[in-house]
Amino acid sequence: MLTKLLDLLEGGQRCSLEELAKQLGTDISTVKAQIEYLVQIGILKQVTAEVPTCTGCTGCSEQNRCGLDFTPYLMWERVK
Amino acid sequence: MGVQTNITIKSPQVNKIGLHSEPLIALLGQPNAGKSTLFNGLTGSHQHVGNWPGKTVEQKEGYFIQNGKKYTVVDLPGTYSLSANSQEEVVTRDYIAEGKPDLVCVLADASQLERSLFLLADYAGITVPIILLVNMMDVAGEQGKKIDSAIISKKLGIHVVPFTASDLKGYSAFYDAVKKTLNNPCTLRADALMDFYKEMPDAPYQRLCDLMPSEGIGAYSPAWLAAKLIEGDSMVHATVSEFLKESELVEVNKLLSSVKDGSLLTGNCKFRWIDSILKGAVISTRADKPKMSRFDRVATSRTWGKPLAITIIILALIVSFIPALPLMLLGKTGMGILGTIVADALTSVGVPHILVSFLCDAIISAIGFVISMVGFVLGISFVFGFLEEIGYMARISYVFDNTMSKLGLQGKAVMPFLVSFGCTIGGAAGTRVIDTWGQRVLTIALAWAVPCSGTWAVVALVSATFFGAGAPLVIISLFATALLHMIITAKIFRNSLVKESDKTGLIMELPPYHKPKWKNLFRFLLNRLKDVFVRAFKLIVLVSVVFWMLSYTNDGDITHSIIYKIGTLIEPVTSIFGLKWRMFMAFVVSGMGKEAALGVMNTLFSVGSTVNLSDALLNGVSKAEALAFIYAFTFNIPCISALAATYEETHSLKWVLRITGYYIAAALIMSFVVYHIGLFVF
Repeated sequence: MLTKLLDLLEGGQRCSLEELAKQLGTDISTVKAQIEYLVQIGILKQVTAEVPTCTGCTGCSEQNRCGLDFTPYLMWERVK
Repeated sequence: MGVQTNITIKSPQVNKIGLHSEPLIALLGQPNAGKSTLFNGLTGSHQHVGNWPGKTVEQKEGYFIQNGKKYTVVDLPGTYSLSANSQEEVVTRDYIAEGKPDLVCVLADASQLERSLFLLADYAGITVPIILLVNMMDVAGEQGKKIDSAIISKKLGIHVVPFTASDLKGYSAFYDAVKKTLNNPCTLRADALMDFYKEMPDAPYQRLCDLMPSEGIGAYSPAWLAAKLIEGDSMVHATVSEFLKESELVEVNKLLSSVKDGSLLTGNCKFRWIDSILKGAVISTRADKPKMSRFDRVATSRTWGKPLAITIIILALIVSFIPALPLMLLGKTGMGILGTIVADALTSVGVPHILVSFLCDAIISAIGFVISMVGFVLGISFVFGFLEEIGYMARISYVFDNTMSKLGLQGKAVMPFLVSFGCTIGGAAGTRVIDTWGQRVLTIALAWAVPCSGTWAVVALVSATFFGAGAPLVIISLFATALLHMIITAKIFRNSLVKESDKTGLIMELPPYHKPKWKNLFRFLLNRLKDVFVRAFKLIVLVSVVFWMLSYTNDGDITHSIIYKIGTLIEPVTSIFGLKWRMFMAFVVSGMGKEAALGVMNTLFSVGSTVNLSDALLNGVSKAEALAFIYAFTFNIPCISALAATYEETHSLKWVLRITGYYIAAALIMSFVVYHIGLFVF
């Protein structure tokens, strides 16, 4: 299960949770549980990609977060 | 990384003597499993809070009375597992191992049992009796999940109580299970999990079990100890070493030296076990919305995801022109009429020509440009804001993710690129999530090719003036060129910045589709409009005033101005790129800030002109030259602030200068190519 999940990320591959669940023949909550474990044992690392905090460049108002209002994306990457 | 403390395991009986005469119940669960709610529900005000001896971890203890009998309850720290990864986990497992509790109540979250049962899997092999409380049944019900606790109970060999910790009236089943388990202690059936352990490849589980003390150590069975040794638990290893003969220890160490990725191996087994426990016990009664899942399958498909994303982006760009048109009309025609009226009125009352020219040619024209530009920003921000609000933007970045991988970038580069659509400075700052320096520099270098909102505003305005209904086509061609530019830029720079080993596998969580929050969207648009208006107004008016001063002459003939003399001197060279001197000046100044180009055009085409600005532009610039300018302008360096931000993020003046030089050269090459193609086409 876990090894198959990691195999799917081999060679810098990228997957969505949905795709992983499909490939592993399970559901998203199970995949999430497995990812959480892999984070716990240091094989995966959670990354939140979000609009950076204001650097005071005066390009836009602070509330406007560099012009686009993106929801932070949650990702997990393989730790080498 | 394990916490370095010594584990002390004693006989359960020794520890219980004198401490509690009444049954002691420990509540065990992962964070947010509802332990504290249950603890408060059981003990009410009969509780006290302190610290675990020698630790900074909070200890909560209390009691409740049921049918005249007093029960002591200990709320153990929330832990993900029983490994020694944190102080909380060490405190928890030491407490259980010492045999202090008579009963452990493991709380699991019914809405995410796959996750919650991991703690139970880690508990398997500990001999202290337990019951399983499946909490948050109400949330699971809302999710359409039906949980058959009888099936789980049969497989685990313990009492399984479905309940909701916040509902105090529903505690009777819990009290009943506690009473039964204390009268007839039952421990977790772990044989199925042990069978999985035995199947582990390259892990000598059975032999390790045989080498453990036959009675286990404290509450830890040989099976539990062997699994923890395979996981590389140093504290368990230290404890086991004290109980083994030297020859046994040598053999244990030899066996363990052959184990690779032990935590991965045991984790695999634990998830297989959880899967087997939940099989047939959890039924989801709510299927995904079929239409939406079908759409999402296409939206995220490797084959159709990209064409769909491109189609949606093209449609979005076309739609974004709709709100822009009325404002463009107001900016161009309305301010043109106002300028004429003001000029006539001021001249009739004898205001000097220099003041009339300043007010009408520099200020009013500049305001007209700003109003026209704001319309396009509104349109583009609305459409892309809408796509983000409904959750589709994440899909766009996802389907283009493998393209980024081919460029040598990490998946995390998604966000800086998306942010760069708003502002390149934000995009540069957003690369902080990228770990390696080379990857960061490459991501910033490519983010410069993503046209920011200031670029779109000017491009839309200029292309609408010259190409009318064909303007969306120009914008689409810019999108395609930006993508090509990124590919070429990556090919040029990646070898010196990125190593093949920098590529890492990545999992991305796609947000669910949802209805847009209109209030959020309009608030964002309002802020955006305000920002663009203020920034563009300041920049355009400032540049307009500077260039008005450079181009002003007493007789109104621009050919006598300083700027004209400089411009015509360099024009033979700039014309090669399809940029006559006025457009070349606009190109150069756009390096300060994209909107500034409008200030230059506004002044240089207005001063001394008897026709309105649009006509002056159409008279003075051919379509091929306009297209050359659009390309040169779009792919020029983003702005001075973006250069500063790039230096701040890379700390390399060499790379800032290299990228700057590359972008200016690339912009001029593109304008040269586009201009000469344009000469054939138009």
